[in-house]
Amino acid sequence: MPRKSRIKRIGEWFVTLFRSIGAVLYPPNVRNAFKSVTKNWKEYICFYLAAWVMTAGFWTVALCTEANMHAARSAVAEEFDYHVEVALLNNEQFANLDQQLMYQIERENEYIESYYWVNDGKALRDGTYSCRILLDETYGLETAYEEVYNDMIRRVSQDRREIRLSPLYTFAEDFGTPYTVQFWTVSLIWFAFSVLMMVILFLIRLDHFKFIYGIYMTCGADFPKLMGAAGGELVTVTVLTWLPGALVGILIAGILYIPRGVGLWFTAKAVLVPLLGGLIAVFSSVWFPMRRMSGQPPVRHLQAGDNTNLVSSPRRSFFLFGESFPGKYELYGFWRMRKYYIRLVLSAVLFAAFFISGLYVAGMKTFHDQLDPYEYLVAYRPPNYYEEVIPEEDEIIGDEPWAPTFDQDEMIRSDVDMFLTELEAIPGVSHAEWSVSLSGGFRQSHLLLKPGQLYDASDYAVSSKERQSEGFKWAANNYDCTVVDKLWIDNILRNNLGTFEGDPYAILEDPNAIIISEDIYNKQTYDFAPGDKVIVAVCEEAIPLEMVFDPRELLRQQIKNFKFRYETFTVCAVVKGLDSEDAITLGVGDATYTALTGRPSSRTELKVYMDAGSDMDTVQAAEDQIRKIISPFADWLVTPTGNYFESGIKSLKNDSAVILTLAVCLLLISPMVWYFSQIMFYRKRRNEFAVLHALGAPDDAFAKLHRLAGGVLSGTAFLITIGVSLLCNYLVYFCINTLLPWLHITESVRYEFSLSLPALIACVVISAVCGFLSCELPYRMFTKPDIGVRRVD
Amino acid sequence: MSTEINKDRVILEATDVVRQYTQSDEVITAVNRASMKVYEGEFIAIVGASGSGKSTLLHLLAGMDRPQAGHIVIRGQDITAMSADELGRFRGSFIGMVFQSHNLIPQFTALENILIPTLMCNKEDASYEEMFKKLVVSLGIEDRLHHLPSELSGGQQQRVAIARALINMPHILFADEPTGNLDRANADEVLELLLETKNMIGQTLIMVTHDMSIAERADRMFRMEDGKLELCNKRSSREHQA
Repeated sequence: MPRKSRIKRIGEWFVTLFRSIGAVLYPPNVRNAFKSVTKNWKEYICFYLAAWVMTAGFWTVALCTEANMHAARSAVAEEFDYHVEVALLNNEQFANLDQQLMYQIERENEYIESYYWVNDGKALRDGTYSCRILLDETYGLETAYEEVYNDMIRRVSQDRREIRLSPLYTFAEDFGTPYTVQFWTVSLIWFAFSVLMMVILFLIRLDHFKFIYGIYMTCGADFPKLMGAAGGELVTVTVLTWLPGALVGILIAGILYIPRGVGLWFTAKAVLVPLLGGLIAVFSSVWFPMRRMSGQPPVRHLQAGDNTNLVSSPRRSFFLFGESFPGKYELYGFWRMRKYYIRLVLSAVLFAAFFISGLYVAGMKTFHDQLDPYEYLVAYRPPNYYEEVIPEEDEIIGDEPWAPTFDQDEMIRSDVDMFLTELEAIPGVSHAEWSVSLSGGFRQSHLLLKPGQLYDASDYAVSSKERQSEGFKWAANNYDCTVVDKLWIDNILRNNLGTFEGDPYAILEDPNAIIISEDIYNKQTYDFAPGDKVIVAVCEEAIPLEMVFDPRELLRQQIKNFKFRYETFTVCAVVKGLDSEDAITLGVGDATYTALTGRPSSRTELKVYMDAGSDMDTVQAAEDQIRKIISPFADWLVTPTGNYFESGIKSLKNDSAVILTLAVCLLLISPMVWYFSQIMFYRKRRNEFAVLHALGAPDDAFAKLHRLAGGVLSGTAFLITIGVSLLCNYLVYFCINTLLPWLHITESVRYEFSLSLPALIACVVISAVCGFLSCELPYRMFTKPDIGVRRVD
Repeated sequence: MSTEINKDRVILEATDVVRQYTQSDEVITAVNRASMKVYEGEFIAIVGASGSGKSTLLHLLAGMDRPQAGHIVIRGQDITAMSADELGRFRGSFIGMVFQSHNLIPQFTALENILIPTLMCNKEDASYEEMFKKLVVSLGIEDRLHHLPSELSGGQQQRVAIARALINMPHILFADEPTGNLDRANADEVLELLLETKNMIGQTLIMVTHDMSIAERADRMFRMEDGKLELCNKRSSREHQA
């Protein structure tokens, strides 16, 4: 047959698609499908439940993301009545800008709605003025801002003047786009799960109903016609379950959000996506298996009237003579139909594994949501300050950063000494952090460690032969080299940010002393004790390496190909309980920091953290207080980051609970797969049992046969659940830890690989019980009554 | 045979058709370079021992299976070159199939089973109504239409299967030992019905059978032996039977 051109094939594909959709919507097919799925509802109960779960999931995702969006919008509108703030203005700038603005308002400038001066036009505590401008959105915010900037703000001298865009201006960028992306991403993921669950259930049905489709094909059915028959039924089931699914989805979203004070919003998107998502998912899940089946000759499907199509090759006879019944008989049967059983167990436990992975992702999300970002940056910014150019990841050293002179450095330290305590006493301020650090991975350096120093670091460390003879057999680069001084230590102790084991102040005297932490994501990963030796391998010469996925593999490549300088340090103190992300802290003195990183150790920025749960009034009042405190000190500036407000809005979200709910929904599919498949399977075995019974098999042997099968399936499910769960969690871990950062979709964050033991136990028990009952229930439903009837006959 | 055979018009032509199966590393050639020509209106019988490849050949000729080599041309169209969808539609329009084991859908009534092909070809009610009435009357199943297959006798089930095969008035009817599961009386009755409807519609009938008395009524007879197909005259087949 000559090969058709690609365009022709694409054209034919679309014709087939439209004909299939037409066949599904063809009124006689719709009538037949409705009759079929309502009259024989028991046969479709599995699909009803699956479609219900699917629709409820879509509704939950849609309503929860819409609730997030509206909560964010309301919070922003409530807190911010301006788009742009022009801050840090001196008297002259204030007068100039005020004049400009008044003139434009009088002229009824179409890009500006209104403006006002903070503190009613009086100078702030630091002697500066701040003007807040509300833009007119008629021509779009960007255009309005551009016009206002060019016509008014640009005409004010630039000296220290700072323009801050409020969340009201950056809403689309900060919340709108991320939330929309999140909505579509989660919806797509749920769509994928829905297709998977429907495909699995439909394949089970197809396996057992191939004979009917074979007859349809014999009678002239092409692929669209088969789609009309099978797809029509499942689409009807989906439409019928739309309302109950919607009710459950609304209930779940209500439970998750209303107690947090966030209302539910029924937008067109929130209503249409569950309906269309469900219909497309169902259509797709019928399309692919049916396409494959319709391509095969019908004569193959006509042979599937019993379970013969499930027999795996080779179809050799077993030597049954002298073997026991039902024990060996059924075990031989297991082997003969091994592909069916393996497919069944894998399909069923996959959903249990998804549940465990869902818990894992929810745990990651919870941890991330709990991290408190700093709210204010108090920075030393002399007139000759310029921004540091951050080098690219594959560069070894970037441009030399700005650094204060020796005199400036002395002055900065003295300033901070004077105002830090006062700063931390401001109501609502939790603590201030004054440090500078650089990631070891960024400098392509690493630590050499002894085996005893790895507590649970197998995900991070690689074996190394660099200093193996001295006992340093492992290398890891997940550390941040941090400058430590008395202030840093005092800050931790005073604010109860952590505790020290050993003498942390020894670092101030001994240049070879270091302070080190042990936790990654607040969980112990390394094990150090005061007096331990640690070697830092500092990269001296690097060559370009090929891109590798795995950070550990990258480290291996670096060790193999780069040249390092080795410096040995003694741990003087171990800091415990310090909040940690993806790296441990390696605290060193100023000189050592410069030696290890090649960067100056001067600190010019102070990060101010707020107490968890502080209200926005307290947070905003703190800014004024900070300005007052630092105003006597020259060249210090305060910049609000808006992080607290942003994390406050994010805290309204309940993403972890949503993920957990979807995971539970997926877990519900597992028993459905077990029972649906096995009931179909045993229904077709009725003739086999009738023959065996006629040949003299006693009734109790059938009970034994089913229990034996249940036991074998239960044991298999037990083992496979553990394996598949580990695999799924690892894939999630790999995806979030390595793949997404590599694709530049998320930030490069290292999470710990873990598996929730209680969830695993629950899933293993569910799988084992379902495995057993999937044999026992069909026995009670079909086999037992059948045998009884024949005896009476 | 009252239907006139049109010797100028070949309705089916099979050329060097091969079908092999692999079973436990062993290759079995079920149909080995089979060739045949069938004229419009003919009644062809294919005989042979069990396992000789008769049914496989019939499935290939009816487009129910795909040959590994060779061509099958029906009404001028090479069905081996058709896509699965084209072949499906072709079967619905031109081909009818009667199986030895009836292959009725157990959960459908006799009426529903008969009407499946009309549903598959989206036929309007009016287009098959007359044919349906004729079929159920001539096949004697008018009072069994609302019964499930399990409530019908073997002979009645086969009649329903025949009605299903004929409802779309196919040009060629393929019958795979349609009387194999029936007693003599029922077998004769079914054969008479098949020939009657063949004459009524003017179709071509290709039948696989073990029964030489049926085969002898065919216009031509082919014999399958170890996958090879050969034309044989009636005299030789009688000898063969003896």
